[in-house]
Amino acid sequence: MTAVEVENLSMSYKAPVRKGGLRAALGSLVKREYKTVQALDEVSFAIARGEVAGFIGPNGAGKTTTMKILSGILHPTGGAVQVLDNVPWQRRAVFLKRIAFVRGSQPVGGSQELTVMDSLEYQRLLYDVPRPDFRRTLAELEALLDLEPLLERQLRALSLGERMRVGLAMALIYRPEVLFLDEPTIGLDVSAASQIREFVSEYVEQTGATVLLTSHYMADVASLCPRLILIDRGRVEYDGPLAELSARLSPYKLIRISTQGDPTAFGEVVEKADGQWVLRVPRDEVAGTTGRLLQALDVVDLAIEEPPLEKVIDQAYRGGLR
Amino acid sequence: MADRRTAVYGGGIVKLLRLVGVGFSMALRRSVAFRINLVFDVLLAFTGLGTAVAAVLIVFTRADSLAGWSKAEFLVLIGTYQLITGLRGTFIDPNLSWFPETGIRNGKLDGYLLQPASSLFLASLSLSSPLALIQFVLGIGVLGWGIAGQSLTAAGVVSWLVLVVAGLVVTWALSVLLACLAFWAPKLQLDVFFHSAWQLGRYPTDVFARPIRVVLTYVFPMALIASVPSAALLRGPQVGVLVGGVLAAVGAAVLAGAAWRAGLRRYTGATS
Amino acid sequence: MRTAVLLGFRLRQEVLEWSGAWWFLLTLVVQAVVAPLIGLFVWSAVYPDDPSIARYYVAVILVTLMTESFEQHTFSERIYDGTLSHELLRPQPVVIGVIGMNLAIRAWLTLLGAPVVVLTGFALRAGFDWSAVLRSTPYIVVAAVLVFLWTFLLALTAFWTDRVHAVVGFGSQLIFLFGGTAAPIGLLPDTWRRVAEVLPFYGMNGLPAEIAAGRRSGGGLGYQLIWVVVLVAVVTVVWRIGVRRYTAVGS
Repeated sequence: MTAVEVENLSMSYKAPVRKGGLRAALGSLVKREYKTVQALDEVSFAIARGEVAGFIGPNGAGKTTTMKILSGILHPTGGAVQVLDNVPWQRRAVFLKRIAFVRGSQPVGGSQELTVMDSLEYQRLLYDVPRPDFRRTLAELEALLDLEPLLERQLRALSLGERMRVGLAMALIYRPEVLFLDEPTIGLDVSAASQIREFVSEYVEQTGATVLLTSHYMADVASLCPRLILIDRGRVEYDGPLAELSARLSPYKLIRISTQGDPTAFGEVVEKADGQWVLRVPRDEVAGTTGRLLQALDVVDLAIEEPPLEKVIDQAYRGGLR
Repeated sequence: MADRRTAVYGGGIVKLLRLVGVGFSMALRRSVAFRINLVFDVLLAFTGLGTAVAAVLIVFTRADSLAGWSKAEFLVLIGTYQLITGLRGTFIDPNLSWFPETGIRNGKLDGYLLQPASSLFLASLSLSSPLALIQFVLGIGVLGWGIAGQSLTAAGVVSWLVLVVAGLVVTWALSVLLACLAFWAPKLQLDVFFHSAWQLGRYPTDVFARPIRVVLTYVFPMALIASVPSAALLRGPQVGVLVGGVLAAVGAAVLAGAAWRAGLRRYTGATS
Repeated sequence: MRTAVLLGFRLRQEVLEWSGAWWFLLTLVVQAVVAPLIGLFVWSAVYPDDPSIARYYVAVILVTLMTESFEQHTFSERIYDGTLSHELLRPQPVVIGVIGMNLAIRAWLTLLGAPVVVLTGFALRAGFDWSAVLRSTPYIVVAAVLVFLWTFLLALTAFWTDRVHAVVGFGSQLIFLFGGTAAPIGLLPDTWRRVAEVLPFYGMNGLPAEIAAGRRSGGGLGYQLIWVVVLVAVVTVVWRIGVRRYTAVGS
């Protein structure tokens, strides 16, 4: 059973070209020049029901555009999309009741004067949630998101972390089956971010919801998503498990050793601090190098590690993937 | 077919009315909680109407009628104007004023598109500011003051009601149309002109010079919000005016709906 | 002297800054013009044979544009969002920035509104006597000072309430009613006329317009100046108390 199916999805739009200077400004009033921006280029992937997938890529790669198309806000220029067997941009009510799109940059919409409880109550009406279900879900969300102290507060008086919790509660009160989370931890401090992560994973475990999540924080992706889809300049560059991504992106591994000797000859030194060394070694030479290290030096301790994900991704974003 | 309709628009009119009702009562509870602001708003509503009435009363210390309207008739007109202004301030303005800024640039429209109810309804009618109803109540007061001593006919009252409703629909439709401009030209904010033209509605259109009168009757039909219903109430209904008013309301509403759909198509990239 | 230089600098800067917002300024012009325009139509309907009515209201439009003040938007917002703190730290009186912006907006409004005024004047064959217009200049200048002081005074209530727009709105209603926009002061019922002639609002709008329209030959500059002195005194006191409160609350 697939929850989300995307085939050859393309999105291009025309953007006016602005040049500096008064003459250009006047000229653009009469005749505007446009250039076509290809935001998405033949993107294809499928997500099974109950799967949690991470959607990563540099700024402007097309992540948010894809999310907007999948949730029905935007109409693509080409390709086919099925979310829960619906075409999202028809925005049929039955479909909208089964999905949620939460953006970390603006987690709660609606009137900011209302209290959290009032806003939830409004959601209940809007999404036709039966009262008993509402009460049960609310009780669960209260416990999971620590909502209780927030219920009587006004939306505009909430801090960023509280807004995100409330935003999630407002989205999940109608128990959507597919959840699009766009940078849910943006701007949050470490503990607020980890609270959100724990919550998402518990929700998924309890309800079997399908989640597509974008984030710039690898901690989010690494802890939540068994599968990653990496897009760059509108194309899918990688789709698979997290572990393989770093193997593919980074042809190196790290060897961490504690020794009194000098291992500089065995690989590129990335770090060193009182007897602790970290060497960067090509992946296929790890076994050989380790053997030679153990023979040549008096090694107290040795460990082989994958390079940190942040670094790998950073390299990939900068240098491109091919 | 009926099933498909509910599927597409997310529930019938009953649900929409309930949403308005719930939104209203929530907003009311909030605004009553801020006592001082409440006092300020009530006072300003009083002085605002007082100023408007005073400006007219001054005129009637110097003349018995103005453009064919007597003092009592003028009060009916001001009352009707105030009543519609109050309803507009309560149910329409909180949604659509500054739509280019709040709706499009801040992405509030995205949120509405995701909700299972008509996006036009959500964007144009879902929020309300109950305190503006004070103006509505005061309007009824002035209307009563003006009516006292007049002889009214049942037909006149009914056609007044019909025309007031038509005026409200046209007001809503005009606000939607002005908001829709933001889909094409987000920098152009015409609603200030709308608000200014609205001020002219407080006087019978007969007062103004011909070009302005034409604009107020056909372009920004401010004549419909006060002059026309008041005339119907005081001087008896005219079939032509009644039909014209209802047609204007229907036409404006259809136009607003079409403009909204076209705007959304553009916004969601469905056309290009 | 230094104050004048600072003000001149600020003014030039503000005029340039506002030049980009011409559409917004145009909407302000329209808003300012509506009320006197209604008065013009209403009173012309009452006195169809009196050409001085049209002349008077054209002058009122002009005076309104040249004296518009928006301190509830420009200044009060600085109290609400807390940026007033930065201003208080700078080695120049805060009011210079406020006045600079005020004058810049007025300059733009006058410039953009001039065509409206000239067109209305021609359309109505208002027939101004140019020596009367010239004579009204000092009255307009003092009127501009009065309107600024009045609006700024009301804008200062932002130190105490968050409903400054309601307060200033009430102030504008007073100007509308007693200043000569709703009706020329001379047409008010006797008691009210006498009250209006003492209140400062007539000096903000109706007086200079009447002189420019030739409905009154002169006099009354003393009355205007007395109110300038009174308002300056009140503004100064309220400003001091307000700033003390602001810095005590510490936002």
